[in-house]
Amino acid sequence: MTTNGSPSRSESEEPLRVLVIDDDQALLRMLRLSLASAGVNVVTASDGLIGLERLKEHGFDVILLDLQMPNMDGRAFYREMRNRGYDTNVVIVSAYGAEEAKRELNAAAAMPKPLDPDQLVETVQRVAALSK
Amino acid sequence: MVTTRQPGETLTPGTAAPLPQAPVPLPAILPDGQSSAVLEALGVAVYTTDSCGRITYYNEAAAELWGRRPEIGVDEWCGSWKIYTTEGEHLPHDQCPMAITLRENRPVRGIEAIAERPDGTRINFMPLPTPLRDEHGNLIGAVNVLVDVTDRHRAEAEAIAQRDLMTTISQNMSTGLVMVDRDNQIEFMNRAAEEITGYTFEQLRGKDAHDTIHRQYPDGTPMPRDECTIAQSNASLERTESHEDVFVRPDGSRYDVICNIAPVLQSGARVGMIVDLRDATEEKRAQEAIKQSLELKDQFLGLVSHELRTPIATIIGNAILLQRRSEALSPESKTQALADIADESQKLQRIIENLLLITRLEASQSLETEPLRLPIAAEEAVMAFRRRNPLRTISIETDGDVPIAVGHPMMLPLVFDNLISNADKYSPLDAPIHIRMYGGPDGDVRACIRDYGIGIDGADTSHVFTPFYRSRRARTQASGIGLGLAVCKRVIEAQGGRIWAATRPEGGCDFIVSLKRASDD
Repeated sequence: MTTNGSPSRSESEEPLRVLVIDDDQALLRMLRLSLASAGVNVVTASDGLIGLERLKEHGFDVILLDLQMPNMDGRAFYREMRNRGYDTNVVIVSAYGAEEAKRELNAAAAMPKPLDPDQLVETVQRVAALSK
Repeated sequence: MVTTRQPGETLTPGTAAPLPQAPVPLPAILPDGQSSAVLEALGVAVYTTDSCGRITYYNEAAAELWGRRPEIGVDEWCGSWKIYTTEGEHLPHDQCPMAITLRENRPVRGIEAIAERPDGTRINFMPLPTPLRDEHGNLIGAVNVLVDVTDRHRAEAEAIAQRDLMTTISQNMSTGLVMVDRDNQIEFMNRAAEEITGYTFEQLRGKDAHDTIHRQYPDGTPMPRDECTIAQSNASLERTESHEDVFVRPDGSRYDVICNIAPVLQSGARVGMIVDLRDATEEKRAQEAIKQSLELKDQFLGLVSHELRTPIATIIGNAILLQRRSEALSPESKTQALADIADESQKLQRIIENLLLITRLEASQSLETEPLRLPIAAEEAVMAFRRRNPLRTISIETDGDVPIAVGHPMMLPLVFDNLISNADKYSPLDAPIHIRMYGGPDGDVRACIRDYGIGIDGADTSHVFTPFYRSRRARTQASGIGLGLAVCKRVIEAQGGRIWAATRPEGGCDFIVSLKRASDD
């Protein structure tokens, strides 16, 4: 486990790449800071539609996904990305019903908001390890 | 000697011999010894009279029925103490069936009467008086057989009472009862069934239940007879309980019913089915309302959780980062994290204030108002908003001297803040917000907050002020709790004012606040 800003993988490895999808800009900045300060590469999207665009542009180890969002919400994004063949592991990050959505969507993990930045990094690393 | 009893005359015990005395036959029309023995053995009340009506013979069964022993050759027509018609009217002895037989020289049949004994007990009996004639056909007397029908009467009375009871129960119960015969034809309907089905019993008597009240699926398509639950139960002899179905009224409208269907047995044989039914329209409506209310509660919980926990998540997350990873953060990141903590705390504060306000300020409650200048309240709100959102363009405009309004000086800036935040939330980042204040056409003072955002669907213009209501368009545009506009409405109305929304064809919408003008004196 690495916190305190040390890289999440050994120096020889590539840093983890995480897509964070949330419509709240302040929260998005906090999530980005939490992960980036732990050596994770972060790309953000403010709704599901933008998230799908980001998937086309980059490959990701983990996706952090909010549920309630305008334009395309978390559930719709999840189903659409799976339809399109993306098998990236997803962590549901939501203020309400994260666990239920995780079970419903068969996501890799769930984190209720508010969350601890250290636990967030741990969860991202654990979920990233699942796909190895 | 013929004695004629007058109506109401009371036979005294002295005219009749005491019961232990044996009957004494009169010579002319006496049954012989053998016949007399037979008449005794029959156990049926029998007596005879001569042609003048004087009793010449009676057996023990007759004495028992009368409760007395009449005096042979003296008592006339009948040995009863008193006789009444079945309607309860006193019947003089000389008008009793035996008197008619003797007077008219013919048998009398089919008449019932009531005999009262000296002890007051009454017996229903059917007399069968028959003339006795000699070999020349001359009337010499009559014989009467008295059939005790008290038990039959009692059974009939009980059956009538039972039927009346059942009728009273069935006609007064709130559950509808429909009885059909084996061919599914309606044989009975109670009042509740008439009310539920919309048909009178007379309209449906003998008609097929399926073809009349139950002929369609819930979607209105015709239901074949072999799918009909009543017909199926009738065919299978099976009881069906708590069956939910849809029936059809005479006007073709459909309604939900819940019914139980059971076979009707008479002497062990099935004669049809009884269907008890109740109109489940209200029940269904209530169930639907409960379901909707639970869904709304879930939505509300989800909304409130999201709107309260999201700013808290930003505040806690940033605070922890600043505390634990301060060395790893750039000065810019730290500044941004602190700014986000401050902004999100204020956002949280506004949500909590709105929640408290909507809870505290009951509908129809009024606030204390005072004369104030609307532009000052608007300026105050705009300045606060600009500090939070320096990039949004907001303009304030007044049409000449805006009249002095009456309002609550602390609450009005809150209304403007909510309306500006609402306009900001649903507008593109570069779209301006205009606030214009002017004297209204109704002698009021108005402020119009105009945005160039997503606008409101016509049907939603009245709903947007409902607490926690969020239009479909709003939900796809931004997160929110659906409380800001509801608070505005309640606060403005508590100041005696009005607020409404108007969507503009060219896009965006206007929110207009109208307050009363302060009186000149």
